[in-house]
Amino acid sequence: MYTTHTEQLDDLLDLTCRELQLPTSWHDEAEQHYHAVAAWLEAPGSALRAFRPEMYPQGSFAIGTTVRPIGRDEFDLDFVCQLALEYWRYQPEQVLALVESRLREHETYRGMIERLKRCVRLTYAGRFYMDILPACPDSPPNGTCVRVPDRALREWKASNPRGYVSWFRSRSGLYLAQQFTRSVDPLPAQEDADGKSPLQRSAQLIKRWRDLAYRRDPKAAPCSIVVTTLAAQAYSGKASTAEALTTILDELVRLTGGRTDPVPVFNPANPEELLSEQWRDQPATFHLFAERLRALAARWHEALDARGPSLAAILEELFGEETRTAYRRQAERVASAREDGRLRAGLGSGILTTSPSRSAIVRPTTFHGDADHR
Amino acid sequence: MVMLITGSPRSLAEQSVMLLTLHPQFTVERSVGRYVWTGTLQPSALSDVYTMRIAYSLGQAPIVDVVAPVLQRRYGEAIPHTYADGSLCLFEPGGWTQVDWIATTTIQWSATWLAFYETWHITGEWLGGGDPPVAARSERRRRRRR
Repeated sequence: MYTTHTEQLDDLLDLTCRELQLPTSWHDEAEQHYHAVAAWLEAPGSALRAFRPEMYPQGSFAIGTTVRPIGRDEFDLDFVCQLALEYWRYQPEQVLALVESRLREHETYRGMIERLKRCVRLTYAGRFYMDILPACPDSPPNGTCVRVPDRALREWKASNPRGYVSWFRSRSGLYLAQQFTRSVDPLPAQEDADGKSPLQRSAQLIKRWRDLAYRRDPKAAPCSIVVTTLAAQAYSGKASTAEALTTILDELVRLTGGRTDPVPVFNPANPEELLSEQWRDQPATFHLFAERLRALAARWHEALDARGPSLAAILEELFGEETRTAYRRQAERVASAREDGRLRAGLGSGILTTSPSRSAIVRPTTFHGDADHR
Repeated sequence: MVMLITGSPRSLAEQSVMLLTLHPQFTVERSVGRYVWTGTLQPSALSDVYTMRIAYSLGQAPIVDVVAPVLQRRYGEAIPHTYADGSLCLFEPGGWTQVDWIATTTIQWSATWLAFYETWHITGEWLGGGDPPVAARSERRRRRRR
């Protein structure tokens, strides 16, 4: 058990995120599905085969910050289908159609497929929306930079999903010296829940807050990559999730406050790629975000000073009812230690612990009481 | 600390020495035949700090009250494992005798009780066991009723 405020709060936030993120078993399922789709796209007989299709994850799935959307079971899993095409010879629409038609050739995928604005969606009901975005290598070749269809499906715009993942991982690992080897893009291994970084946890919590704060006006909400990029840029390497969240929120309030124009957010791995197009096109959404973010930061600071059920109420308001499950898990540890005869109370404080130093055992007892008084 | 297990009841003074030594955050008010200890307990680092009052007379079990913050019902439901007067019910009949040290029973049981009280407030479930058992009202049912 933990004895400091920060340790216990970090654990509570960690438990909350574990309730919100892609479950480990679903992650394994997603991996199987993704490999199957990739295999189909490049199989002999595929019109795409000549373009050496490569499929790799992007977004929250690639960086380990998944959060279940409100009101549904399905997670959004984003993938890139990279084709070795000279992009300037094709309309984005044509390339997207190529991917779609290959998938439609498959009896099972035919029934799951949906064409969205600039990607193809495979729906695994009750589990995932697998959104596949076509991409071509940039020209002249520039590392992992690619061209993807823009939001209006009119032109190819610059992007760098793999570069973004590398950048995010480097920010994420600031709190310890961490080596990431670049793999051939299998699905990122589901981190042991304890292995998520403070930045990953902070990003999950901020996204969850965003989902709740904007549930009545979801179209005004900032997209996840903007929120995640801002958080990663503002992160300074704190090893505690609670402290990381505090410094991130304070920094973002400072960054977004008192501005007439929206903050432009570019892909750190590709300075040509503006991620915050929504704010550029609809500045009111930026100002709304700045205002709500200020409220979040203020409420979070109140949470840091709160204790007991008042603290729980603030956390539930900000991050949803999964926080209650987190509290339950912590209490289960206390109950379990008590059952095993390992529960102790700190001398001078009463803090329940399993540590034998400066503590006294909690002897067995059965709480009693008047059954009929109400 | 060596504790002598004898068959004789502890005196008020003995109980007080043990309690104040082990739990220095408590103070005592002595009157004839009755001691009242007041002090704080915080069952976890994220918990409220509770001011407790333990009143003890020879011949009676210690009476434990939470002075502050005032214990609250949860959406009208009575607080589990309390007596009608609001004091905490920490043991079954026979669960505490005058041979026991308040300092190694009542204090720890109170801290444990407080932990489960807070969890009950937050989640609706009493995870501390006890008799009679506290039925966990379904959260969904409670919400529908509001």
